[in-house]
Order: sequence, then C-alpha cells, then structure tokens
Amino acid sequence: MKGTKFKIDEFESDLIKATGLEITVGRIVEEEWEEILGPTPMPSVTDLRKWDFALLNRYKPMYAPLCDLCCLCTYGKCDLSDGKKGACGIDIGAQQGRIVLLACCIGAAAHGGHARHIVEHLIEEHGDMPIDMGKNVEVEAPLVRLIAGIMPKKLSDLLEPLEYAEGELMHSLSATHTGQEGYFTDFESKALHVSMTDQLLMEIADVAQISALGFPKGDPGAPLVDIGFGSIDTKKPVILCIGHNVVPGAEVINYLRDHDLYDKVEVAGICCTAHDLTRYDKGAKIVGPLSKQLQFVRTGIADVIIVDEQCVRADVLQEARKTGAAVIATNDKICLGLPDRTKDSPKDVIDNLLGGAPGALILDAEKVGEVAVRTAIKLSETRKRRALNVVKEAKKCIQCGLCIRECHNNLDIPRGMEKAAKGDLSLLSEIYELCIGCGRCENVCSKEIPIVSLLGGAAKEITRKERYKVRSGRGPIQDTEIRNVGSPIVLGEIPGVVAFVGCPNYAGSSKEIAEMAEIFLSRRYIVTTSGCAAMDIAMYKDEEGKTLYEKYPGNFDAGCLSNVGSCVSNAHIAGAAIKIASIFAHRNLRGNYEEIADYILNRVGAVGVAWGAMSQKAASIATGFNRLGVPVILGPRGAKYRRTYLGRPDKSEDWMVYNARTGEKVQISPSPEYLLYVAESKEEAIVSIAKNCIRPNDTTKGRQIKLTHYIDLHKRYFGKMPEDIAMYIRTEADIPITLKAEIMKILKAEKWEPRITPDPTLLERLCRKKEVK
Amino acid sequence: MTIPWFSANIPGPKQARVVTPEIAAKILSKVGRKMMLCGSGIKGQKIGKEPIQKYILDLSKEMSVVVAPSVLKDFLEMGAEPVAKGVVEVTNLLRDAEWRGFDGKGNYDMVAYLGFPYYLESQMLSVLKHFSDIKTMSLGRFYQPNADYSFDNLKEKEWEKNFENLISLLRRK
Repeated sequence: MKGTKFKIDEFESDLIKATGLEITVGRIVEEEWEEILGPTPMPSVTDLRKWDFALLNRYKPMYAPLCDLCCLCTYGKCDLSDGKKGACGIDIGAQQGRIVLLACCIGAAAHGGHARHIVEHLIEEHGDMPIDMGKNVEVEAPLVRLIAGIMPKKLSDLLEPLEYAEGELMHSLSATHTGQEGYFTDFESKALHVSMTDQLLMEIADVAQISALGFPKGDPGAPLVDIGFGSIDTKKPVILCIGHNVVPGAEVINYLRDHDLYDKVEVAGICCTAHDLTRYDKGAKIVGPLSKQLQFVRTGIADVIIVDEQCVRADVLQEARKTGAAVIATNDKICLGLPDRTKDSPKDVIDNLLGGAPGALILDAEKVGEVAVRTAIKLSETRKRRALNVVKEAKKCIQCGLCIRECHNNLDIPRGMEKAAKGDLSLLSEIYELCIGCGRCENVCSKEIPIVSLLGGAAKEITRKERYKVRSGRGPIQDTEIRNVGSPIVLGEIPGVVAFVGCPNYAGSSKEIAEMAEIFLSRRYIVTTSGCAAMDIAMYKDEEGKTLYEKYPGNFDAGCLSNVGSCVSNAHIAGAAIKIASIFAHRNLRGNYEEIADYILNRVGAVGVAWGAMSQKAASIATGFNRLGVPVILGPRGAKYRRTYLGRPDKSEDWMVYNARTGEKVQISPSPEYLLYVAESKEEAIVSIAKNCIRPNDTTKGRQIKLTHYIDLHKRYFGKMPEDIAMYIRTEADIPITLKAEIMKILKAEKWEPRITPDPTLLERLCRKKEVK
Repeated sequence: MTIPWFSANIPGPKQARVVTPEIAAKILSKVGRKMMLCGSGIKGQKIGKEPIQKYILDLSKEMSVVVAPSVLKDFLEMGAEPVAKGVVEVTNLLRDAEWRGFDGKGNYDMVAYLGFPYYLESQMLSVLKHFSDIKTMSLGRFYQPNADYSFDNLKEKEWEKNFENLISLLRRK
C-alpha cells in the first residue's frame, strides 16, 4: 500500500470540488495507541524554537572562544577579535554558536551512524524482531514516543524515527555552512534541536540491541562483571575490542561458543564496546575506560585488536605494530588505510596476518569473529610480550620539561624521570594514576622516551591488582520503578537524581567521580551512570575492598546505583525523566516535547555530571539533556566546549513562571540555577549538584530535605552557610527544622518575604485560568 | 614573542603583553575598580614560608578579592571572609556591563586571575577578551595569551619572587 499513487480527474462533493487530484499513500498509521497526538510529532528545526528561546532567555549562553579566528572557508582566516566580523559577516558570538552546533552535529552523527548500522544489521541477521524491553517496561522507547510520536513494536518501526533524525541532522549541519545561519541564539536553538535528535538516535540504537542481542532488560540485578587490567587472564590468547559497536565483538563470542573455545580465549573491551560485550556475555572483561586505551595496547597483552567505531585512537595501528598485535577494522567509519579483506577467505586473511600484515579491514562481523579468534590463538603462541626497562629509559631524560607543557594535567614527568633514573619508581607510579593516557608528552620528547609505557611499567604492581566489579549495563528503568519514585522525586522527598556520565578526561584523579557518587548515594539520592564514568566509578574500593556496585543495589531508587550501560544507554536516563512525567504525572507523551521538557525543568530534580567530558558526543548528550530541562555540570576541562548556559540568580526578572493554576506570572527560586555549568573543583561540583536538584515545584517537605543537603554540603566543603539561602525559602515551612533559628536570622536581615509555591510552567498555553487584567 | 605555556594555546593575533611585577603594579595602581580572582590552585601554595593567603589578604586592602569556594575555608580559619564564588559564575557576572559588582558600586575596570587550572583560566580570560571592556591580568606562573597582561612563563621560585615583589610594590603605592 505504501507508495501507492492514484489520480482523480474530477471530483465533486458538498464540501470539495477537485480537478486533477493526485494522492500518494505515505506511512500507514495503525491507531493502536490511543494517546492523543501532541503538537510536535517529529518537530522540524524551528518547531521548538520558542521553547529553546524560553530556555536561552533564562540561561544565556556564555561563550569562551578557544580560538579568535574562523578558518572554515577560503575567505579566511578571519580574525574575529575586538568586535571584528569575518568576511562572511559573522561575529565571534555567532561563530561560537556555530562551532557548538557543529560539535553537536558531529556527536549526533556518531550515534546516528551507530544506530543506522546496528538497526539494519540486526534486522538482517535476526529478522524483524519485536521490541522487548522486559516485562516491567511498557513504555519501551520514551524518546521515540515523545519526539517522533510513534509507539514502535518491532525493529523496523525504528527506521522511520531514524530517518527523521537523519533529516534533522542534515538540516542542522547545513546551517553551519558559510552564508547560512548568522545569529547565536539560532545556532543554539539548532544545537539544542540536533542534540534532542541525538537522544532519539541513542535510544534507537540501544532499544534495537537490547531487543535483538538479549542484553539485560531493565534488570537492577544485572550481573557484576570484571573490570581492570588485572582481570585479564594473560595466559590465554587475548582479543581486545575498542569502540562502541558491539556487533563484531559479539560475533567473536559466538564463534568461541560455537567452536568450544569459550574458556580458552579472553575477550576484553575498552570504552563502550566493553560495556556492551558484558551485556551480551557476562564472561567478557572490561579493561577500563578510554583513558586506558594507549596504556593497555602498549602492554602488548592483546594479541588481536578489533576496532569498531568511536573513541578509537587514530594511531591504534601504529601502536599495535609495536607489540606485534594484529588489528582488525570492522566498520566503515574507521578503515585505517587497511586493505579490504571482506570478500577473502578467512584462511587467507589469517595467513596474511600471521605473516606480518599489520591488519585487515573486514566489513563482515561473522568473518571478523572467526579471523580474530583463529589469529589470536596462533599469534599468542609465537608473539613475545616485551618488558620495558623503566630505569634505563628514564636515564635518557634530559629534564627539558617540554613534556609538562604538553600534559593536560601539568604532571611533573621530569621529576618522576629523575627519581626513576635512580631506581625510585614511586612518582612515575603516582603520575600513572593521574594520567589520562593521551600520549602528547611523547610527541615532544627529543629523546623519544615512551613516557606512557614508562608510567605503566612503573605502576605494574598497581595495574596487576586492578581488578574490580562493575554492574553490567541494565538498560532501561522499569515503569514500576518510576511508579515507586515518581512521587517522591517530584515532591522533592528524594532529594534528587544524579547521573554521572561521559568520558575520562579528568583534571584530577579518576577517583573523584567515585567519591562524588558515594556522597550522593550515602545521602539517598538516586545515582545513575553510564559509559566511561560508570567504569571509573567501579575502579575504586572502600576499606572493606568493595566497589560501589557491590555496596549499593542496582535499582533506580534512593541510595541505589544503576548503571544503564554504554554511551547510547544515556537515552534511558533521559527516558526515566520523561517516564516520570508520563507514568507518574500522566502527561501525554506522544509528540508532546515542549510540555514534557517544561515538566522536567520545573519538577524533576535531576542533574547530569560529565566530569571528564571530552568528545563531541558528550557535547550533544549534554545539550540534549539541556533541551529536556536537565542541568549538566562539567569538570574544568568542559570550559573548552566554549559555551555554558548560565542563569543569573541576581536578576529576579529571569525567574518568573506562569502559575498554571491562575495564569499569573510569579517569582520562583532560581532553580535550577544553571543548565550547563563548569565547576573548577570536585567540592564546587558537589555543592552545585545538591543546589541544582532544587525545583520550583518542590513541596515544603521536599524543599526542606533538599536545602538540608545543600546547606550541609556547603558548610562541609566551604565552611559556612550559603549566602543565597534566602532565595530558596518560599515560606517558613521550607526551612529545615534544625536550622530554623539560624536561617530566620538571615531572612530577617535580608528583609525576606514569603511567596507562593506555584504550579510552575514556562508555557502560557498550559495555564488552566488566564490572568485577570 | 612569548609562547603560551600550553604551546598550542595560540588564540590569534591578539595576545597578552608580558609584564614584570613593576609594570603590573603600575598598571594595577592606575586602575579604578579592580578585583582579584583566586582559584583552587592557591591551596597549599606558599610564598617563601608564608601561606599565599596571607599575601592575598594584604592585597585585599588594595582591591576586591574573590576566592574559589573550595579555598574559602582557609581564609575563614585566618579570620577573613572574602566573597567566595565559582570562577565561571563570576566571569559571567563580569561580562555584564550593567552588573553592580559585589559591593554594589558597579562593574570592575580590571580583573586579575590567580591559581586556576591553566586551560580554565584561559577560557575565562577569553570570555572577557571578547565580550567585555574589562582589562585582564594573569598573575599565575604561566603566560596566558588571552589576558591583556600576563606574567611570562616562570619557574616556581621566579614566580614566587615576582608575586612577592608585586604585592610589596602595590602596598607601597
């Protein structure tokens, strides 16, 4: 029926008279879903512009250009400093918006490419399977429902929202071309738009792989799996998978299972592929986050390295050659200049790799499975893992200090070398703990010292013991869990939902993220996590030798730690916020983005923390959460994203909302204070998280609880009562009982007056009664 | 031409003028409303045998001082209570010409940064370079091209000497 065309030459009825009428049948909508369609199913680039402007009016972008120039076309380079415009007319503010949009497009494209590949591959391999998120998950794809207005039943139903997102991505990216968009707020609106579609794309990818590959389906008790260098059995042949697309790695496991080799070969992963491997098979190992990539490849432990897509080092082939490991590229995004051996027989490819070829491009996942296993087994018999003489190498150091200037963290490598040259490896070992593994220090070393390898060598005893437990990615949050926590979250009695996400580009120790997570777990916030952050949370043990995953249950509940999974699983965190509006508050979901985002902004005390955000994907993920009304706090490196969204608590006019009950415009507390903030230190982030969980809709009891945490953390880390406390007190009933005398004194000094707690909304159309003039 | 401490951090043709403590003191003493922002990096920092907080408190007699909240405790223990706010938040206020300042007397003419992670300071200086009329000075150990004025890249001891010198020159004015 789809695509059918028919033509009517002449038609006349009471209502209509038509001549030469042509009709083409598009998508057939079977109305099994009774929910009323909202105003913006599959919104265009401008459909939600008004919502974006409402956000941008309160949370104005603050731009911090990383570069004063524009180098994007042959008019340039153009110097945009001192108010100068480029040859195309663009100014520095718009240029920053443009670069932010570009970053968000790149991020969304990475997830979109992943989603497109995995949906098509899974349909081809497994057929058009039903979408199944588990028995307690009826709202199977909240973002698809919300944004596309579709209730997907089977994998092929994901193709239409996928196509929609791809179209929006193309429109958004086109706006960055010279001579297109020219104003910063519209660049921002487009960045928010494309990042919303990024969330949709992430959900599509994860819903598809959960349904077809048998991943945990919203299971709070997903298995605890091994993570860390020390968890890898180096006596076995080792296959290392790097990236985000689990398909080739899963085929390795299939091959091992089918050929009775399962216990004879170690399969391990780095970055999100590792998460997804353990979701596919709990016997797979996680080496660690992205920051461990260069370090682990250099150890030579891996016999075969499979790269799929995203977060793979561009020099992986050269690095692998140093250890004699074979590289198999498996995805059209990363071909590494390797010959395409997809159509060759596995035997020929294996012989070639064993004969010394550095790698092969194989775009057939099943073939990858066979080639990787057979090559790894053979290579492990002949390949020798060479130990590095740290002291001898360190003696080459001439103390020029250039390595520090290249180091993100200003780590004192020369002093570490000086000590190591005398046989004391302790400082290099300490530096290993703070190193993000970028390898830039080596690029400038005139003595060609393999500094990263030396750090690993110095910390060998530590890395051997790096064996921890992480809960495998559980996927979505169950509808039943949302029913349990919806009310206490919205009323404020659960003080907040804190999501630790993103990359490991930390400014300090990776342990900071686990420390922050534990603070909020012990205060009975809901803590959720994903991606590399979820791995780093695992790589920290308490005095009893337990990781946070062993200490806290995996539910989405107060005082619990839920790992949703890989990068694309971030969609389930957004999904949980959306489901609170839908399942708990019975707001219509279908094509109703603006209302749901308004609900989340005003009622759901959720905060994202991307403490080591590095990638363009992290930019689009954060921006997507921002459009949905969820504030995000970045670590200090996040300043290099060039843009924050900051509220001004001192401007009372920025904190007005409609009271939906009366239609009146009323004052609220400045909450959340920011949509996108950069914290300089862990302490600043912790206090900011607690404060940004406050929402205008909190009940007095909820506000008391949230303020108790905010004040307590502020006093603990900063040594005094917060100065802005009066802004967050609406009535005396909001004051934490134990602090009443202290706070009343402040309120009196500030001539505070009580104000109402509205039914808050930024959308006038949601007011039940219009303001009487 | 001085190369930024992170050598790739070259923003464009407009880069900071390198200043000695003498020139820095002269510039600062001529400016009307000035503020110093102190970051988390001052924690544990000493000038000779004295904690840097002591010098900063001395300087607070000459200009407004705002510290990162994470180091406020150190000042409270010394009996002082400077304004404490995150550098991103303060920089956001500073870029608004209409902002009334922490004392209600209006925005500032010059802001000096001290003790922040290099790249974070660089980005905050970039905000003010492009989106305000405020002049900026970097008093840290490393050359910051996005400032109007910056110390050169210095060794620890050289920087301590520079900073101490700057404070004593300002006190003499």
